[in-house]
Amino acid sequence: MANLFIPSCELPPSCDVLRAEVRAFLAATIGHLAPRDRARSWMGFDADFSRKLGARGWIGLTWPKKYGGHERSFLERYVVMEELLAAGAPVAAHWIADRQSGPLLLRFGTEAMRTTVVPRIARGEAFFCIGMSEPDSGSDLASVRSRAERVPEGWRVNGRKIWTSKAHRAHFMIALLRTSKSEENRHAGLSQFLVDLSLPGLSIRPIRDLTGQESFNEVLFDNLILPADSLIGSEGEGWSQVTTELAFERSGPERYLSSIELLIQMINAASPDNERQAVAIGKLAAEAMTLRRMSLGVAGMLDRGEHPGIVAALVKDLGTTFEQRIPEIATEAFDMELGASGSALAEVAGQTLQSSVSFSLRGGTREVLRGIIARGLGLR
Amino acid sequence: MSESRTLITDSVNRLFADRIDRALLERFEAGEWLASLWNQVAQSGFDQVLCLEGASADWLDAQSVLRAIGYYRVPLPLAESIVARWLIARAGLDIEEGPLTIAQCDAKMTLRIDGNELILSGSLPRVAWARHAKRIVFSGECAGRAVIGVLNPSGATGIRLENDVSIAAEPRDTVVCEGARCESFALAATLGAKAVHQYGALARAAAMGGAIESVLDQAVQYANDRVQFGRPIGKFQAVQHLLAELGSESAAATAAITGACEKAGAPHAVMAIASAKVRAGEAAKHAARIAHQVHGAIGFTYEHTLHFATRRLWAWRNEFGNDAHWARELGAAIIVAGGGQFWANLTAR
Repeated sequence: MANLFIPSCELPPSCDVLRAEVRAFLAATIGHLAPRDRARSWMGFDADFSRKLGARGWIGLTWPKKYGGHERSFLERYVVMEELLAAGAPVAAHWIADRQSGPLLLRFGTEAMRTTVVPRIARGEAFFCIGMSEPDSGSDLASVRSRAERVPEGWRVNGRKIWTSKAHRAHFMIALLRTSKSEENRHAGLSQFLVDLSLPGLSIRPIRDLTGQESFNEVLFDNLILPADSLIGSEGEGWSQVTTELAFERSGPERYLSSIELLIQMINAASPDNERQAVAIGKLAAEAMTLRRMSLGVAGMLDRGEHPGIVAALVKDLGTTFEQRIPEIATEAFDMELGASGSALAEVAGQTLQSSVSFSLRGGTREVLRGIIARGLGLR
Repeated sequence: MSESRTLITDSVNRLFADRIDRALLERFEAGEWLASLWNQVAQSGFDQVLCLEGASADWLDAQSVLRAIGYYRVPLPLAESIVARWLIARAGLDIEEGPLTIAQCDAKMTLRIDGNELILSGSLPRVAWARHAKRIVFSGECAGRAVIGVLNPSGATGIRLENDVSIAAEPRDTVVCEGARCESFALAATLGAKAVHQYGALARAAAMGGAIESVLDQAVQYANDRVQFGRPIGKFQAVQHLLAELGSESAAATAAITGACEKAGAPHAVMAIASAKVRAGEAAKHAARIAHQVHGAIGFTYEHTLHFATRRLWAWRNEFGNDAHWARELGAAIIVAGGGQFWANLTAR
């Protein structure tokens, strides 16, 4: 089927130099990091690390220089991202801003946003969270009810956002809010806003996840007043803008590499003569090789300005399934008690297994993605 | 895609789409050798896709033909002939025109050099299409050195065939050698003693990729056509999600196979081939399961064409090393290299 085709992508030689630089930087900055910390993957938060990365010029790699970017290729950015993920670098502070908020502001934001906020992102100083989900709006994102009304001072915002990763440590949110009620088309009447999280009228309540960590939040807007120039793009165009944003959110290598530290620990703990372990690792390695190829292929499509739509959804679905299989197979092929202190494998497996249930939820559930794939196959 | 590859892909697809239908496949399954179809294939040179003179044909070109073998369920020793002709060309040997097959000598086979002749004793189990092959091209080890050799199954003394078939009705004949003299042979250090095993696996993986695409297309078509509860079953979310999974499996298999075809012939190709065979095997398992579930009872009949693809998938998945075999090879090599090398090797050119 033609629209499932992912063209091969060969990285240009310039990427080899960059890859070596990133590896040397990671060895120097996080070489000491314990396996259980690496296993936090792109949920690991370290503002200092993000600033160092910004200083190296590895945030906002593809953005225009006049807005603090570095005007390098999308494939070079891909190499930096995959190296950070493979090493389990603590990238959470800047990850969302680099991946989707910065590109969104560059594309739809005001010139003021581009000149004041975007360069701070590129320096690793301004961190973002995503204001999409609400208590009654999960997969059905178009049903959001939090609203922004025009008032003389700008916009008055009321409502609630939820599952907002890292809101308690971020500086800004890009919020999807209802600016008018449309009876016939619920995709109309939505708009995106840049929200400074330090404003009064806004409160952030951390939510503990099942691992005991406070990684996501509930954010309440209680008569929050936003300046008039907080609107991103055009009023009422929020739906098409957010769809563009989701394409950035779904297509990256973080959708197959979240459990990579566990696979590395499994390899270290295995014996080549143990048939069960060798087969298990071989199957996972075959999947890793395949997904890396597919993920790189999607990056190549983005680099050429093509729209990977269906294949981006497909690679995320396969990728998160792979990330979830790794802890399942680890528990089957290795004799260990999950979380046992003193064993890198057991500690990493315990943590990864517990986190992994969220991998097929965040950024679009498996079921939503399969609906997108099915439409791409010509069903409906 | 290069111009020559587009040309090969278009012509191979056109030939098989025109010629292969249910009636032909039923004649084949009743035991007929499809001589005229073979002649058309040979006239087009598809069996020589990897050794076209002056052209820079590579395994990506071969992938187009191998995919078509799976997609159109080509009942001929074409995959085997492609690999055989590539191996003998690389080994500097020559064979006249005609259908060929390939066989891997295992540890129980004895290869002995007598003067300047290579003599085989032991059996080559379940050689694909041996009864229709003019020559058998094998790889093996003789006195610690890798060899590629050629056997004439009807011309040499000391060769006997025990005919059998796969569950897809393709001939799988055990070739019993009792002091059989090879027609020719050559040392093949670069290809290695397991060349047939490896490139046979790649050929099967690539054909599986095509058969998976075939069952995907058939299942999507059926889901859009078949009406139950007043609407096409493809409108039901449960069915959509099954087909989405099948689509993803197909794309993954194709990616893994293409990766292996890009590396084929290079010294370290075996890891990419192992990965492709494992991934295609996994995809084949899901593809057959889902396509049959979506088709319901009609897909379980002999009358429907679905089984011509799914029976091949089940058979091919276990040939030239099953998923577990190749996963173990890959896994053991990765464990020996160590976790610290995993990512570096994965991203190496």
